[in-house]
Amino acid sequence: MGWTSKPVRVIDVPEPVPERLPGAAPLAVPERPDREPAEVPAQQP
Amino acid sequence: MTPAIGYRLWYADLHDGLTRWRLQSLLAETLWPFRDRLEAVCERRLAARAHWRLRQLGVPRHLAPATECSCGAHAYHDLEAMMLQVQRLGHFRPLGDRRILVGGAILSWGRIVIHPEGFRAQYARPLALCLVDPTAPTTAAAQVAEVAQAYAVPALELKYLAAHAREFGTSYRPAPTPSSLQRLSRAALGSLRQLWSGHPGSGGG
Repeated sequence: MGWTSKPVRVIDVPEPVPERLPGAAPLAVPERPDREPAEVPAQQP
Repeated sequence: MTPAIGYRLWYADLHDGLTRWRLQSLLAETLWPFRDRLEAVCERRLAARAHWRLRQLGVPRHLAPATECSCGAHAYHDLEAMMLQVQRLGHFRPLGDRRILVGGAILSWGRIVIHPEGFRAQYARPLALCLVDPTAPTTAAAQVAEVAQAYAVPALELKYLAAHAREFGTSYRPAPTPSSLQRLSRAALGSLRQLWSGHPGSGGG
């Protein structure tokens, strides 16, 4: 696949952020609690 | 600056216990890492360490890709150019070759040397793979899917490859130079003349 032509331009491109890479791990999603929150006893006045 | 997208070919040999599911470059025999970037290394420089003749010629140490070398991760700017290479390779497949030809889009960054037909990059990573060989056995599509899964990229139909790649980067295909435009216009003019000479009413002066 080597090119026989002369280069026309050289550029320097920064590394993409990991989220924009293929095969990147999905963004962490906070888990839903699987049980109801414990009842908090009502405070006595 | 946005990462570059390009299109290229690899071999994959699922029957080889060592390189199984690995994408292998056609010429350099580089094995592309799974779910990670490939960092290009100048193999001419590596070969010069082992081969006295190359050592005599002298290959200066350099980072890949260098403008005066042919090193770097290669890719075409266009899908059509990649498919032309598939046609060319079809004539040179040795008998009994169990490897499958895999096409795909890559994302590249770092130092990128741009040529009219493609580019050479410092870092590259596959974006999606596809089956490109029309003469491949019926099992080849499933094999491409297995390889794509190993790289955590989708196995797509060829017609969807460019649209998928554009989600991640941009093409750095240089604008046609005046000389190539002149060549194109000459070719177009030649085609028109051929058409005109074949036209029934073109015989009279």
